[in-house]
Amino acid sequence: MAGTVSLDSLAQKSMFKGLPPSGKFLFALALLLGSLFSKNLAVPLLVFAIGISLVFLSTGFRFPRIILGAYLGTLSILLVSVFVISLTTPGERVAEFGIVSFTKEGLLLSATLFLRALAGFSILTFFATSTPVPHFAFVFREAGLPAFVSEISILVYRYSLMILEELGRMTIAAECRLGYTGFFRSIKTSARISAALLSRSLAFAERAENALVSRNFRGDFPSFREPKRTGFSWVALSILSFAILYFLGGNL
Amino acid sequence: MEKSDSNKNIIETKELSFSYGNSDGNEGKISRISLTIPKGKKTVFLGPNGAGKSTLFLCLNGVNRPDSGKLFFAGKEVKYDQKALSSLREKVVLVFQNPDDQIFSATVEEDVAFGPLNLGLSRDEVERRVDEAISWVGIESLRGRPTTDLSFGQRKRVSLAGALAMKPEVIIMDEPTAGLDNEIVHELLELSDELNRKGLTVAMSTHDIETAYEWADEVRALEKGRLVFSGKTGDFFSDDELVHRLGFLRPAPLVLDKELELITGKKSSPPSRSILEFSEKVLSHKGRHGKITLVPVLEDGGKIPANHNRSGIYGSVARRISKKGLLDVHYRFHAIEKAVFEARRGGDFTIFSEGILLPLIREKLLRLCPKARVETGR
Repeated sequence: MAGTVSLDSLAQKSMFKGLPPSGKFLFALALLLGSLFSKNLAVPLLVFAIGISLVFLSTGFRFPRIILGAYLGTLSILLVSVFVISLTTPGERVAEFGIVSFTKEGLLLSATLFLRALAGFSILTFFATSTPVPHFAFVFREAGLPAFVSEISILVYRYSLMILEELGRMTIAAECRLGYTGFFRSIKTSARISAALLSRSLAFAERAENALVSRNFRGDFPSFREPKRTGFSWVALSILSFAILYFLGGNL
Repeated sequence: MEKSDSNKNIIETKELSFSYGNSDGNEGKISRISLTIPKGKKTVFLGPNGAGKSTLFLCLNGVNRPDSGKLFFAGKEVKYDQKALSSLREKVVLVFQNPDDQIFSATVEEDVAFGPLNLGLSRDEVERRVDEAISWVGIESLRGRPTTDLSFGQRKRVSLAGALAMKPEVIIMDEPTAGLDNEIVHELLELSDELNRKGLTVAMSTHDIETAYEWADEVRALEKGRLVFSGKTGDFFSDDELVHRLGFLRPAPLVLDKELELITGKKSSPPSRSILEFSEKVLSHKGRHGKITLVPVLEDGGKIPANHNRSGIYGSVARRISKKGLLDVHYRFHAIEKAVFEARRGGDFTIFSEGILLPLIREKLLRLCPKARVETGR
């Protein structure tokens, strides 16, 4: 629960919050593609360095526990994956440990994958820690998508946060009454909480709808402080970033 | 189209009935309710849980369309077309019991602006209203904060600001004091008095009998979806049988008044609305009462005279100035009661408040302590 809420709170406080969300998205996409098209390892490493620096800047050099947890989780999955890849890729053997052997191609492939994934993850965390969820709705509107798409995204956002908060409260309440002692009891408690969450979310939806209607809601969420629109400079910056990375990647 | 007396009553219902399609029994149902909400008064809605108070409130704002009966606003029957509903919801606003039901936006100012933006107002006007509403409830420091980061009390304030930003004529609050600490409850009641003095009609439901008794001019009591009492606050609480039937206890000052009558054999008049008021009847204070000075303050702070007495603030403007550090006082809430205590002990007290509220403060002071020497300073 705390994850989504904390991540959005981080984004609300980010120094990059004021930047145009579509611009940030384009820039992130350019870096991701640049890393993906590169033929050497330096570019993904560079993109990772850019991404992690931006995350540090975005979070005010605090690197919150939630981000650290996400990085550690991703790293552990990545390390297992690249280990398996390096073992199973055929090619010229460079090291042997009994029945286990590593090939040059395998090591190169796993290193490329590892760095690209890490670079991509750092760029995505930069985007997530600097863009509040409601700004996504604005991106949809800016992209010319129908109003109901942004309306649904805001409703989903709000309901998700409320349901997650409710889930947190119910879990603590269950824990206080020993609902998570033992495996089977934990399963049973989780099932009961899931069922209760469904009925509570329906009741909440009804109350929330009344509250919206009472304030003249007509199916559109007007934005009071609209994020900045993407200008030509952001498009140019994204294209330029991609071009530089493409060049550094040894494609030209 | 039917009309009602708009000079006296801002809201009126005639034989209003509503039930949710799936409701069994009386839960969430109201039946043939005919009531009035007097213009410029403070009305409290009382009744046990499930009596239909929240359902009725949703009818008064046009969210629930009645199955039968009529709703009048400012003397005109409400038509349930989009234009009429928009207009009704602009003038009659609801503050929901649970602020989480009401708060919908990512940041505080976005949520406060939600209603005015829905009215299609210009950005400047929305900006002005948001500024005003935020300063009314004293949440300037929370303005850009994510709503998910707020405490319950802060969320309550935000939901109130969201309602006030609509610039309503009537504000209806569903159990506004539930779950709040003393300071916020006092601030909220003070703010409702202030808004009422400035012309707003205020209605609320509560289970806090002492607050209802002290605060309200009028009582509307509901039981099982039906209106069982409509009249003055004192009259409701004098009806022992009805108060007991609805599951309430009589307010302590009234009980003490009755005890005093039994002991002295004299009718306790006027009835005490608070313990402090009752104590004035039974406790003799030797010596001269202290002086209570009411000092008007201006929105921009202005020139605030030096003060050597114990002091307090009343109202949102004084609170704002105090928060800015321009006004250093001993009591940020409960100032009237503290002033009375001090005056009874023979000490002097100063209350800072907006000029328009000084007559209200004087009335309250003299009701609590008729012997108090109240003066208006400069």
